[in-house]
Parts: sequence; C-alpha cells; structure tokens
Amino acid sequence: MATELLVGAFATPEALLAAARAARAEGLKVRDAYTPFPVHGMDEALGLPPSWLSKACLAFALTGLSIALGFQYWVSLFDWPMNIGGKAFSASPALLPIAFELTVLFAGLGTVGTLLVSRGLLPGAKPSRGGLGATDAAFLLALEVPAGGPAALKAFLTEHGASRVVEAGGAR
Amino acid sequence: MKSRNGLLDRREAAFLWALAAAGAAAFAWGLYAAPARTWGAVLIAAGMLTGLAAGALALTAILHVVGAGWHGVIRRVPEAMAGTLPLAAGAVALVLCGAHHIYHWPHAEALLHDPVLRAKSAWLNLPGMAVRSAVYLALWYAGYAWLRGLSRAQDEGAAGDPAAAAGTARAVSAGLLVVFALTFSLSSIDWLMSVEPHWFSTIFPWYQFGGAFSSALAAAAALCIVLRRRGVLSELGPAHLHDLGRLMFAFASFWAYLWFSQYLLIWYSNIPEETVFFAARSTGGWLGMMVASLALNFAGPFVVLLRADSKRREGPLLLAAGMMLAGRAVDLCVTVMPAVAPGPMRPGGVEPFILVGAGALFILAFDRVFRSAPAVPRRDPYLVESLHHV
Repeated sequence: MATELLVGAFATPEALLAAARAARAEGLKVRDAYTPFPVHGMDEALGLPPSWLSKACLAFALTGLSIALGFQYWVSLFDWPMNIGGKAFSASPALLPIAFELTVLFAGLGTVGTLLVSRGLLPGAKPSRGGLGATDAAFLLALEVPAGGPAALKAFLTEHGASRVVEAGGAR
Repeated sequence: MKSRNGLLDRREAAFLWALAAAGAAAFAWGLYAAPARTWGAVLIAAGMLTGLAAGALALTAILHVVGAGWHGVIRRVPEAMAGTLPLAAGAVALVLCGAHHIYHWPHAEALLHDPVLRAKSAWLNLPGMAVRSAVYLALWYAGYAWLRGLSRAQDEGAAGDPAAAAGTARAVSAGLLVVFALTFSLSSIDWLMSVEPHWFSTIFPWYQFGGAFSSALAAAAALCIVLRRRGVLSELGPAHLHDLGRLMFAFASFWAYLWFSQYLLIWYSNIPEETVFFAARSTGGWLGMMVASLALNFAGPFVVLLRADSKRREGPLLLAAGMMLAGRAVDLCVTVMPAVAPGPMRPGGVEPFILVGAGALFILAFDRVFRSAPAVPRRDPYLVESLHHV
C-alpha cells in the first residue's frame, strides 16, 4: 500500500494541540489524533463535527424509559395488580424511581457500548498505530500526505516539535 | 488607565433604586392592606437573598476545595454575590420583626392548646431563632471575609505570596463547607420549615440547598454573561459558560431529585401528619404553582440545557437562568404562602413588587461589592489555566 499518512509523535498534549491547529491553519488534511486521555480542545483543533454519540445516548435513554414504564404498567395493571395502601394500580410516582434508574442504566451502558463497537474497541482488537505507542503514552498526529509528496509535511511536523515521524498506510 | 469595572451605570442604578423604592412602598401598603401575605413575601425575599448569597459562598468554597483550574476568570462573580450577605441579613432581621405574622409558633396562646408546639418550643422560640440566625449569618460572613481577603491577596499589587493564599483558601474552604452544611441545614429548618411547625421532613434542608445552590449558579451565569456584554469580563469564554451551564444542569436535576424524594416518601407512606404539607399545596390553585415550580426549576432548564452547545451560548443560558431564578421564587412561594396566608391561591398585588424590589437591591449590592475589587485576580496561580480553558 502506498504511503498515505505521516504520523508525528509529540511529547505533550499542548504540543500536539498546537501542531493540529497549525496544520489546519495551513490547509493540511488532518486524519486523526491519538492521545492516551481526552485532551481539552482537541475537538475544535481537529475541526471535528459534534459527536453523534449523544443521539445514541438519547435513543438508549428513551428505550430504557419505555421498557421501565411499559413493564411496570403491564405488571401492575394487567399481569399482577396489587393493592398497596389503597393506591391506584396505575399510581405513577411509585414507578418513577425504576424508570429513572433504567433510563440512566440504558443510557450509560448503551453509550459506552456504542462507542466501543463503533470504534472497533472490542476484546482482541489490535492496537492501531501500535508501533508509535498510540493509546499508550504517545501524542500522535496523523496527517494526509498531499500530492506534492511527504517531504514538506515531514518538515512541518518536525518544525512543530514532533520527536519522531513515520510513514503509514491509510488503514487504522 | 482605569477601565470600567462595575455592572451598572448611573442610570441603571437609579432605575434599580426606583424599583427598590417601589418594593418598599408596596411593603408599607401591604402592611396595611394584607399583612399576612406581605410578611410572607418578605420571608420569600429573605429566602431568595440568603439562598443566593449562601449558595454563592458554597460555590466559591467548592471551587477552591476541588482546585478548579478553570474558575479564576469567574471567581469574583460568586465572591461578590456572597458579599451581599449583609443585605440577606437585613432581610432575615425583617423576617424576625414580622415573625408573629409569619410563624405560628411564637404565639403564646397557640402553645397553650398545643402540646406538640409546647414540646418544640425549646427550639422554636423567638430569642433562640434570633440568636441562631445571627450565628448562621455571622459564620457565613466570616467565611466570606476570610476567602475574600485571600482572594484579594492574589490581585495585582497586593502583598503576599499568591500561591500560599491559594493553599490557605483551599484549607479555609474545606472547613467552611463543613460549617456551611450544618448551618445551612439548620437555617432552612428555622426560617422555612417552621412555617409549618407541626410538619417535618428530614430531607427538607437538602431540598432547600438544592434550590439555593441552583439559583446561585443561575444568577452567577447570568451575571457573568451581562458583565461580559459590558466589556468587564472579556476573558470569559465559551468553556467557562459551558462549565457553569453543566453545573446549572446538574443542580436543576439535583433539585428535582430531592423534591421528588421528599414527595415520593410522603405520598407512599400516606401518614396524615406528613401529607398535610402537600394537601395544603395541591388544592385551591396551589397545585398549578407546584407544577410551575417543577417546570421552571427542572423541566425547562433540563430541556434547554440538554444539548452540549446550548451550555456554551448566551441565549439558552440566560433563558435557563431566568427560569431557575423565577422557579426558586415560585418554589419558596409554594413553601411559605399556604402556611402564612391559608386558603385558595390568589394572584398577588404586593408580593411581586416586594420580590422585584429585593432583586433590585441584590443587584445593587452585588455591583457595589464587585466594583470594589479588580474583575479578575491577576496573580491567581491557576489563572493561566483558566484563561486558556477551552
């Protein structure tokens, strides 16, 4: 596979942020950044659109809410109505704690699960950019090689403080 | 060059003084026309003012304790809100003057026929209430004055080591929060829960804290935005608003969680001595006010602030802050009024004037304290982090 990307390794998140901002300012195409922890401001520096995970979160939350309310209403109205303190079978305040808990549980687990599946972070996954220590301790910036060749790009990365620059294929 | 530092210009201050005067006139007229409701409105105003000042004090202390790196830019706002404690103390003093109109328990003839009130009179009596109120407010003011002094030591040109001041502020805040948890709980019981002296709820102080802290966060966010629009807090960025918005969102939910916790247990066990509180507040038009309280304190801000980007923008934040501040007033009204002026709910004539007047005085007092110091503590050791907060 032809060289598509140049990956620069930076020592600090600040250096990585600065390099990402500079790359976008110079019109270079940033493929991705790899950090061992979330870096504040990285979204804006990479020009990423808002995450669609919040939509998944809402969908899971509504699912949890529907399941909790549906199941409780079904049990207390149809399957096993019980007279508790003379309250109506459909008395809704009693259903809310479970509705709340299941909403939060579904939203939380569902969002994390969606993240893991959509990013391919399942057990047995191979570390991407493993050679450079991505997802371990390195701060990496992957830039797409422009038509003119990698030389200028390499100079750019080194100039912005990359300690190592390697060529890589386009696959993750 | 001395740039503008305050929130208000002369014309705005004069307008707010006029509103305060209108509130005072409404209070005087109300004493003659409808004393019970007027004194009830004074208690609501005192609840708002103590909640805003004490909530802001707790916010300042929490930001110090957790070492919040982002908060340097906005710190002077909650600090100056806490500096309005003397105004809140004045409102509490007024409440004590009208205690006979507001509370049932200071009436000697009520005690004669009421063994429950007699048993509670060891705590619920006017001298005790006055002493305790003075102690709460004095402790809060002492905490405020100490933290304010340490914060002023981080100003440009101040003597002393700003890093040492930050360390001391952290330790002082930790102690203050312990004192605050105890005194705020007791003050909620004294000032608010005792309007229904037979009724009790162990979660009531928490629920009041949720309301007070939410309103303080809402006011802090709104004041930050208005200050930036006037070119005073120009360093305030979307990330600071995002953090304030997240706190508002969290504590609107926290308030609802506590409101519902109180309601659920009382509804479920269905014991008359507990349900009396909600029975009086779900008839005669009060149910609508209770629903309005839930909508303004929780549902509205929840929907408005749910999206990440709406917490970073002025419009949605101002809308949510307005709802939460109005919601706090409605919540206090539902707590206080059915006990002070029993019977069906009737739209108020004097109450809105008194509340708006109290709000005007709060803004004037805030402006006075805020003006007395630079808008940002320039030697705060975390300020660089706060300025680059994204």
